[in-house]
Amino acid sequence: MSGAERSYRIALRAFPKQYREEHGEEVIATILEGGDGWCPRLREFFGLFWAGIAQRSLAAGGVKTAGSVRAGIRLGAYFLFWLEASNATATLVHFHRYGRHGLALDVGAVVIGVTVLLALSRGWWAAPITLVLAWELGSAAFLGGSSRWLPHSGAGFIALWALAFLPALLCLLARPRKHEPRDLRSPLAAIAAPALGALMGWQWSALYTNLWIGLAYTTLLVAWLILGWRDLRLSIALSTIAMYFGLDNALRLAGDATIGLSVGYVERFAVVELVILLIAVVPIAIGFGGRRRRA
Amino acid sequence: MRAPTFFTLAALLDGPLHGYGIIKRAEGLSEGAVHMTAGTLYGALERLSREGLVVEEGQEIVAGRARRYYRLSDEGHAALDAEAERMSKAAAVVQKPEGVAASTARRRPAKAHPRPA
Repeated sequence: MSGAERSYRIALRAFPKQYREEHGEEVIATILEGGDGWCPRLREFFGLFWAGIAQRSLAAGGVKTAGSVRAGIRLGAYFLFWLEASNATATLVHFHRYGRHGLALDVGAVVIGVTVLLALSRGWWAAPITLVLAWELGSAAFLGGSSRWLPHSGAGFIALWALAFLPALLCLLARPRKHEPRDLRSPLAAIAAPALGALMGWQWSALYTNLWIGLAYTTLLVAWLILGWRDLRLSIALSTIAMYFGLDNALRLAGDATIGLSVGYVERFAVVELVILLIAVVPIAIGFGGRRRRA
Repeated sequence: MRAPTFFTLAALLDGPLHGYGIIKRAEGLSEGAVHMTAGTLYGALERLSREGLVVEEGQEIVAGRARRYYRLSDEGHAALDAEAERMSKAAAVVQKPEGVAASTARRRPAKAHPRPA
């Protein structure tokens, strides 16, 4: 078996088992017929991987679910990028605490945030993650900034960050179609993005000050109920940011000795993280289950 | 109907083809505009099979690998004809006969050019 075939077989694992057993060999044969057989083509690899993910979601919930999952993940990534800009703006307002170094970092982050939004509004999905990572790398390397997203030590940190970025990565691999950015321009997304971003930012600062954390989550829950928990896209978006912040906060708690690891504090953090994941994941499960029954 | 779906159906107009054959034929018919990956093709074939537009037409083993053939069903022919008709009507909106085009051009407001002094 050539290296290319091995790679394609890994991507083929994204398909449901039944489809793989029925068409797997045929799909591999088709790809290999068009290539030299030794060097895997990235376009084919990711095309196959995404087709498998789409096939799974189609099998689970019908035609509309695949689009909802994709749009939900994108929406989640959009909320994250929005939050990055919001956080940077908030820090900029209080820049006297950080001095010029901090100012340079925050101005850069705001510029990146605005550029990200412009790029997303034009449907350039690959641009945001590139820009943000470039800024994080640049600020850590040249401005002495403490990056939020880059691992500080150990392979475990890298693995965790990779996991946190998985939804955003999937969002990039899912080749966007021309009509999809409309989702992000809808009034619902326009209201939801800053609201969720602000609430998450509040929760983030609450972690340091140890205040209002419960209220922040309650407000988030209420906001989400108002915004529509039946919307599969919003549920997936919320679970994406919940995963991100859960990991972010867990790393902060584990890595920052100044926060203090009192047992009650960690337990409270674990409970609220669990609650937010449940409120995000349960409707997704109900949605999928309901669609499957109807199918 | 999206372009890959349309050209997948169109590729089967002349008779049954296997996966790679469909990709190459679609690429040729679209003059290189549609270059499908295997993922795109099999996603489209799965959907078209479920809708009854494409049916499997046996398989053979070539160099130890399975090669499955697909053909257009009667519904597939009808869907392709309907889509071609729709596209032709859409094209006719902008590609009018000579006389009509000229009159359309006359109705367009002329750009204001500054007169030479």
